[in-house]
Amino acid sequence: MADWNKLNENDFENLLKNSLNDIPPQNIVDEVSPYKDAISHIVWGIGLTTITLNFLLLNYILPFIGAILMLLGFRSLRQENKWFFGSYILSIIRLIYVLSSFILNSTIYNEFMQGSSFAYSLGVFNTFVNLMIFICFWRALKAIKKKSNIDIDTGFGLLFLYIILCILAFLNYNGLILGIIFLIIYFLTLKSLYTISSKIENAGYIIKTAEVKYSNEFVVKGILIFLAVCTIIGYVFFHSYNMNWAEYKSENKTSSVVDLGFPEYILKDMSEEDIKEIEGAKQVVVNVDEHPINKGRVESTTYREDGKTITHKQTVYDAKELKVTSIGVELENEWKIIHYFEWTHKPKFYGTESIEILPAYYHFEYWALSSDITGYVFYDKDNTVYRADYSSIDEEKYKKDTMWGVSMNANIFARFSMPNDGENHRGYITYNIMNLNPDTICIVNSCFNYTHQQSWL
Amino acid sequence: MKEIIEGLKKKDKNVTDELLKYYSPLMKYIISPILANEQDQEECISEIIIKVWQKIDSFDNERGTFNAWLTAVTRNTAINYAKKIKYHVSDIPESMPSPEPTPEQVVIQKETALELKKAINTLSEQEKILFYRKYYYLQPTKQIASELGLSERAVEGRLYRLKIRLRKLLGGD
Repeated sequence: MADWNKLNENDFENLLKNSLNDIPPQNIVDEVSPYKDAISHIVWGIGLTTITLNFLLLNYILPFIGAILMLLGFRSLRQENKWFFGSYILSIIRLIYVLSSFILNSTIYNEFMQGSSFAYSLGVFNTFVNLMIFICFWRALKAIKKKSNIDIDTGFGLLFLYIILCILAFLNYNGLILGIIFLIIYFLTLKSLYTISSKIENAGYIIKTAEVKYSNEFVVKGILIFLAVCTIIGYVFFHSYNMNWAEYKSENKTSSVVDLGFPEYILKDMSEEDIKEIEGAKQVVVNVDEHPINKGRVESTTYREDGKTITHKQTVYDAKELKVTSIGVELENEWKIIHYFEWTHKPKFYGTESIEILPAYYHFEYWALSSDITGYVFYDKDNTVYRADYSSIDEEKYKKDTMWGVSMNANIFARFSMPNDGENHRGYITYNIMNLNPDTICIVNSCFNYTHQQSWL
Repeated sequence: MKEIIEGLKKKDKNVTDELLKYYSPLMKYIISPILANEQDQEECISEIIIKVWQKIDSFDNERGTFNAWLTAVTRNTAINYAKKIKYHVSDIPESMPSPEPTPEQVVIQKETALELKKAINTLSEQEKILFYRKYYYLQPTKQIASELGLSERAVEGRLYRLKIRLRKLLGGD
């Protein structure tokens, strides 16, 4: 046997080389290739970015992992031909898009992006980038096929499937049939990806991989650190709206509308202008709802009926944290609608809050908006009342397809942030409406929806 | 692939073109770290085709796939060819790496190979791949690094630690 101790480095290396003349293990033969790792990364990357699973944040995590894998795969092959290089550049752009989405999601600016024309354009751009990646990948594999003179799957089927997906998405077709079609396309896409990977085989040995200055591990760690830092900065500095909190002198206010049933606890927060407006009102209609934010507790009641044991479970809320008081005040020729909310129990977290109102003039047929939409938010701290304007109050008009045709609708959106300290966080929004058909009895229906951020995520 | 193997076993000359077409990328991949000159590579491939033609009956499906067998034939032929160029010696059977060893040397080599195989089997999958790339496929550090997505420095570091570990496993200091 060799005396391993007596061998210097050169002799040891030569001995290692000369002792391996047998057939290598199959797993080694399968793994040692210029293309296996890279193509595997690309195929997995495409698979993860194509499939959407809307639970456990997988709709964010999988495309993120997929974008990184595609980058690593195309980075390795970027020097093989111009199509792989093009795919590499596009995969960088795609990763930037995915990272931007993540970082934006940690800030309040994500809200402004959703539904905006800019967001729509970005979505179209992202789809275009994906399509270009598929085209470049197909052309790259075609070039490999031509160079090696070996028949391989060039991924045209994959490109074709993606084009169908894009067309279906563009047509905005809805229905069960679409869901089934998408499932079939996903299955065929995965099958196509597997075929590319397994059929490239011997042709792949002609591929030249590119040198890298930074290892794949370094790149991945770098991306994760960058994302973590930017997300933390986003959360710390940009996760809440900039509110102009100022001390508010809440004097004792009175009004004759209290005799009509107007809640006195709301009067103290209303502005002088709003109180003046409702003086001499004809009638006041009040509706109070209390809503739980907590998950409650399940209570079981068991009883016997007709010889059977029946267990009845119900969710019980010991506390209903959000109290909403909706008031309609009938004035001379108008109605004043006031939606007042109040946190009776302080929630665990305050981040970004928003209010959506389906106003009484929702359908524009019976009612019309006859004033500005105004409101304020409040909180108390150390016996001082602080008041601020909403960060934004917007009215959004949109067309809606109904079975009776196209109708024009409008929603009111208000956005704000509450501070984590203090107590009695509350606020109100108010607007006036006038009756377009004074001789007709019309229902005043204004719906109030409150969205509360429950945690950092 | 089955057709190529069957054709070779039946000594069908038409099959050599197919063999060259489908397997020349693999052969070139294995040869290029050993023989830098392209002309040498082409000549070596011709020798490999001849070897495959002559030795196809020694291919046993149960010992491994055709790719694995061809890898061994290609690698050993390329090493012999490189030695021929370097030392201007006549052809050496591809199973014998150097001037024909004595029977005693053969026994020592077999025992050494067995010891080494045992040591290699204790390595992790990634370490085995790195080891074979360096000492079986004789790939330069640069090629290993680019194909594994590592920097050259990282590959050198891993190989260094691998050698130290192997020495320890083989009973060295």
